Amino acid sequence: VARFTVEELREVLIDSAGVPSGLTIDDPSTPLADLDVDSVSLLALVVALEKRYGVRIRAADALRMNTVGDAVELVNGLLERADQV
Amino acid sequence: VAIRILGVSGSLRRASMNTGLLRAAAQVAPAGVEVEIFDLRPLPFYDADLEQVGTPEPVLEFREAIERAEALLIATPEYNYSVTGVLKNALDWASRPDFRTRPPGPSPLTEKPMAMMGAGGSFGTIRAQMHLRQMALHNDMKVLVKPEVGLQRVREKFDADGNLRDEAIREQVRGLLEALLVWAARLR
Repeated sequence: VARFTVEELREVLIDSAGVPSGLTIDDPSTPLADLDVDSVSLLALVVALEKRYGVRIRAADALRMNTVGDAVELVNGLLERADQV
Repeated sequence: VAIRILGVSGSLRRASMNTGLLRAAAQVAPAGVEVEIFDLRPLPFYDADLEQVGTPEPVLEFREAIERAEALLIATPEYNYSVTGVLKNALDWASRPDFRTRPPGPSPLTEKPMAMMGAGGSFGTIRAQMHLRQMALHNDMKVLVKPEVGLQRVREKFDADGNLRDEAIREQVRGLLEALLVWAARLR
């Protein structure tokens, strides 16, 4: 069961990455760049995700997220791993 | 440019491997991130008499470049088990309080995120990097601990102009830069 959803990512993008609140995400394959997520907002997103979900995102993974789906998959992977500890 | 990283090389040599590492960092920087390499050549030796009559212009430029930067990326050779005099001198100037305000403000190094790397010597500049960490500690800089990038016996990995031509090292530099960007973002 996916615990971190596209909708939650949408919320974090709006709350923390400076993305306009009218944002809609129709397709997980949408590139983050198409949502006006640049380096600054991507890093803000990473830090916000870490705080909100208590995960630690590796730098290489953080800066190589390209799509909405990449971000959702990454956070879910980290949450699953945390469960196994 | 969204994020500015200030690159500082401890070597003045035109074909320096360490300056070459900084150029490699600039090349692999993600979109929206600029690695500006500051030329330390115009900085005079630190001299309190000079400071008293007015901090020299090149020093002011260096300090302002540090202020503007999100983080510092320092590349240093190892001379006599330590950083170069060029780098030490630059840090000595940068570490001075800000005398433009009364009382003087903190130096631009205070709480500045920083990462380091180095090429050369038989131990890959690790002893120089340990000294650099001590200096950073004194200045209350926020030093990235890992990854460590200390490269030994790598002269053949650079061309005659000091340009890096090795993909594995380029990936190490990329990893360090990415880690520095995330480190700085967490500290913001």
